[in-house]
Amino acid sequence: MQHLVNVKVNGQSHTLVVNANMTLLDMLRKNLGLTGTKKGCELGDCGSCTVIIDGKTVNSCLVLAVEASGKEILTIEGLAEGNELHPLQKAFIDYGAIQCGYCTPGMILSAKALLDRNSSPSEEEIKTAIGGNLCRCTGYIYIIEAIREVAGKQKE
Amino acid sequence: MILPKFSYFEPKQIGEVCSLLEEYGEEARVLAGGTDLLVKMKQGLLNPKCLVSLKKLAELNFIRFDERTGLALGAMASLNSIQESPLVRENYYALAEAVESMAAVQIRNIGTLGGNLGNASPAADTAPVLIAYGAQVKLVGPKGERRVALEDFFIGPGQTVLNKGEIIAEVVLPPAGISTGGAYRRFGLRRSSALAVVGAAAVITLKSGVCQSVRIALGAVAPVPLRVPAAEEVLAGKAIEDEAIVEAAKKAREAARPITDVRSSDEYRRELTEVLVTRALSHALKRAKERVN
Amino acid sequence: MTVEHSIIGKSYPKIDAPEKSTGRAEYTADLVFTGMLFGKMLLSPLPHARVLHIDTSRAERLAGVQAVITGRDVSSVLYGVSPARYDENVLALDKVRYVGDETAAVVAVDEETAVEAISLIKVDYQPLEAVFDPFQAMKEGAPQIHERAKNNINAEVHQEFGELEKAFRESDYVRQDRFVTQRAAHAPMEPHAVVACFDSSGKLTVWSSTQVPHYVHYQLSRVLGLPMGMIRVIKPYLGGGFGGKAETTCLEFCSAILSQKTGRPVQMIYDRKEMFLHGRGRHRQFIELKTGVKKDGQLKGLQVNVVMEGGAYTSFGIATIYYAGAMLSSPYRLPTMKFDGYLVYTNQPTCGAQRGHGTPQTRFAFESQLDMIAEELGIDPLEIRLLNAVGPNEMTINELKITSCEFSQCLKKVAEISDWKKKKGKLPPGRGIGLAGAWYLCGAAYPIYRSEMPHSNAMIKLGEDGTSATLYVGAADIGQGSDTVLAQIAAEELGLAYEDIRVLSADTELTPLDLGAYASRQTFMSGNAVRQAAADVKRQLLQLAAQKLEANVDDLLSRESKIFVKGAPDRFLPFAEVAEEAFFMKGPVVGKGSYKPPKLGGAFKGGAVGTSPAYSFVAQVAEVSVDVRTGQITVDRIYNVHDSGTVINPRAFHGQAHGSVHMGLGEAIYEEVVIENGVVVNPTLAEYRIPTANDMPEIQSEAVASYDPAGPFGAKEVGEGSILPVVGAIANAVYNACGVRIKKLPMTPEQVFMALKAK
Repeated sequence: MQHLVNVKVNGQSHTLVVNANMTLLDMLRKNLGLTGTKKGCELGDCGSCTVIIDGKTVNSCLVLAVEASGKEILTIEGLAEGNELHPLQKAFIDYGAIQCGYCTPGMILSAKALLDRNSSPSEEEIKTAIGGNLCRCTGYIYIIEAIREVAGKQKE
Repeated sequence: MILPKFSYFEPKQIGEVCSLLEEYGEEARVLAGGTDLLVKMKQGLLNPKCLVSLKKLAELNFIRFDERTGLALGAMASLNSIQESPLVRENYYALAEAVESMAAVQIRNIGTLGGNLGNASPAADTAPVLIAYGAQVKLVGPKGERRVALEDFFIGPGQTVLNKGEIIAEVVLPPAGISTGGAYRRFGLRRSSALAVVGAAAVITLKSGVCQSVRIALGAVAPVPLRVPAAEEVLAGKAIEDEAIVEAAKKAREAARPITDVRSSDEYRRELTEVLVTRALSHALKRAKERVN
Repeated sequence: MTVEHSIIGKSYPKIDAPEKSTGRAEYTADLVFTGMLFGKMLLSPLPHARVLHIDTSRAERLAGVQAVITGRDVSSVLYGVSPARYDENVLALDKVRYVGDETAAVVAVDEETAVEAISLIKVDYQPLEAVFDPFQAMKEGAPQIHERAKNNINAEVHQEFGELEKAFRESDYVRQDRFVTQRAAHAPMEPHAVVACFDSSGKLTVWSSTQVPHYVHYQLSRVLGLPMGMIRVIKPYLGGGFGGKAETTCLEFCSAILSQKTGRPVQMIYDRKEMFLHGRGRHRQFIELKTGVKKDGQLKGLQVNVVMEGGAYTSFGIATIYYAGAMLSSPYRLPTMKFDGYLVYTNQPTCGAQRGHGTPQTRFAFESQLDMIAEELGIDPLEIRLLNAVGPNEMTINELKITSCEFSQCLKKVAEISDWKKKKGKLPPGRGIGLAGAWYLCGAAYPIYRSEMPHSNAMIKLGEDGTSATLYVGAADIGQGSDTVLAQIAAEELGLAYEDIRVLSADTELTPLDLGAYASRQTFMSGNAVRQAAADVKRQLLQLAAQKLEANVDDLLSRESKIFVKGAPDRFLPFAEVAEEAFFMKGPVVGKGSYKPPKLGGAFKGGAVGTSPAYSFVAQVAEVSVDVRTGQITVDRIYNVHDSGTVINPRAFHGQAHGSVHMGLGEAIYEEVVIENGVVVNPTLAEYRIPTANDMPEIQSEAVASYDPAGPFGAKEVGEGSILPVVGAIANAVYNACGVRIKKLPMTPEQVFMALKAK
């Protein structure tokens, strides 16, 4: 069964025909070539496929492509303004928050959704916000530091 | 991992939902948030021929509070919207506490209250706390509406009293008295993204320092979320002392009928039940007292 | 030794971080090629069975299916890790040996079709009795999993150094304990992925999420019968390895074979469940330790017995069982030691190499026992460790040659930063503090298969206008940051800025051979090769500059993009100018370097295992709280001090320590691959619980002043050493907090609670 999906991804409108059983994750990766959204577990356990739908983070592996119709989606590819990286991207680079990088897109988007709602989160709030984004490399230490740094700058 | 093939419907009216569910019967599944359903489908545990999404039913996505009638939560209210709601946090704090303990932000952003209950997992975190608050569920089906006390809604793991074509539309909580305090304590094997090994909820209403009413409910220790009247009886009508809390917790432990699984032995679940009920009661009592003052 | 560096010792951002931060970095699963097909494996549902017949006809008839292969259609050359134990078939031939054993593969136009096709293959199995427990497996009459291995004993080790019985007789106190560890998983965020493509000339290119492009190259050549020159292996961006991607998998072979059959690129990816079934994680070890000491705490002798459950195939297992014993010979001076180890086949997924390879298990056991001994003798755990701490330029009893060593400094510093003396024995009930030490190699001194080859090699070519240098190196950046660290080494030696270095790595056609990312060898070994290549280039430029500056070559320095005369900073030429002129005069300015470790190790059997040109040392303190009503452990703080020689990039250094603590903490408390009747019952990241951000303690990571004479700019390893003490430090802290000694991993709340109850 095929469905028409009208979706705005990173500010750009797309009309796509998808099967009902296609996930948003696969639509982003396969149909739109947005492979920055990673596939880590496909069961909503790891957060690698996190994207922001209408301001809220979701695991795109647990959203049907057809359900995304009419929504605005932000993926990691839509975060930088041209060549100007988002402050979170810069902080992740500068603070050593990126090792293998596989969790990075989802992690940065979870952090963005947090900071958009709460410009001065506590350490606990940061940890809760990224509690669904698993990282096997960094122990989260520098990730939390990078997010704190950006939050601090935003506040100024 | 590929989802099996299915037909997909997004009705805009509840009536349409009910008739689709009636038409497809066992072959159909309601898609609320999808955070449990799609996982089970990907793992090959469920293979419905038809998914009926409730996401276009705006009428099921609300949070309303009235001091006289209490709190009404639409089945499609997302878990995070409930947890973040000032109405909930102010009047039914333990519910916010229970939701906060669940999964992780991304899941709570799409997971719904109706889904968490309808899924009927014995470990669902919202069930014990809602039972402790005396919640009822409003069910809508081809034959109209009915209300069921949440403690009577579950009949086994994954099984509820929902009839063919029926869905959960709303969860209703009675008004929270000024001297009511609630708490939810749960034990998970990790601080985020872990199912409850045991969950315990307690809601206490005080009157002149005496326990006017108390409700205690448990998760993950029986085939269904379990209310424990035997524990409640220990406390009702008394000025609650620590010894009584200990006694009530022992009764809760006796009432628990846990299983052994990959997360815990039945014995450890019993031990946890006692500890968590003690802690939930102490916090509920403290909060009730704080609200009085 | 203090040397002023301009690049070494600075926390440059990772060279690949910008591309990773924007989602533009393409990992193997992100690659798309015209006409690319998708392949999938059929896995055995039975733990042990004879394969009688495979009917693929229905799968072949499914629209969109391009090819189906079984064991009969593919090379029957066995593969594996250690040449002495090549025991894996590309696809099952006669038998399957665990739930998950690969029996067939299909390739189709897309994943959905491939998955459906897999379900249409019918295999007739004759079930055989299976065995899951290593002790059962060793009994007479147990089902035999491999013909070669009687009683399923895959390998046994018997080593004795010095006179152990005499040492025990001379000891004032001898104690014996038994420990059991769990099966763990690497759980990298990126599942294994491969794309294979034969081009029209018959050359095979394989993009693989591998830590070891060279070994994949070698195995593909062996198994497929193609010369290495007809194969190119490329490692794209890689999402974490931890040892799990340190061997060739069924995916590389099958995707190559399927590409050959179809003439199209073929992509194959494990899903998360398949990752757990493929396994290769940390072995479960059953450990018996018997240790003798003098009254003052001086170690006299150690007897180690280890039985290790290996799973259905060998993988790294032979090395693992040797490592389990060999690495106990330090960082505490041991005059005598006896080690008996058994690696046993079972009908479970195969175990392999995981961060710390074979040694975190016995390290946990030893550090726990050392604390028990200290308590019995009334000695502080810090003091007993300082008393026995190994020093520089010592030879261990099993002939491992220690050169640079600041272990005592690590212990003193970790005691200082953790406030050990103020806290030990003085924390309130339910809170505790624990200490552990460890050491690790900086690359194995011998390759996995016998060869005289140099282990690491590098080439550098200067940009023609002299403004950049490109480093060609086979080292595999798997997220640990080897590209970054090697660029820093090249920049320092050349005298260029870090930003002027381009790195092309891990491509067997474009980069010279490197054994890859395992055994913590990239910084040390590849770093030495890179430094040499840079020195080679620099020498060429300095010779030219010497003529132009009318100075002696030996008096010239290259620093900060200038070549100048020592002591006369105004007599200089820009690096770029000299480099460009060199190109005009002689063509490409290139340099090369290679590194081969010295001959090391004793003449006894297994004497090569544990040998390394240098060792790192670590001391760690854990502070924990225990909820005595539930048994739940909260690790509040970890203090980690690592002797890593010269630290090339402090943030990368600390990042490795943080990651090590993460994995160690997981193994201490949360993680276990649970198998029931051969079936992995928790093959998800929901139920295989690696720590989340909320579970992590505060970590204070520090280095000590140290310099290794054989390391590049004095550097040693950091990637694995810091995982080794974690579990022991936590176990010791738990004991200190609540008086229960946990000897079985993981230290689940249930286990701690039951131990408290039994107390």
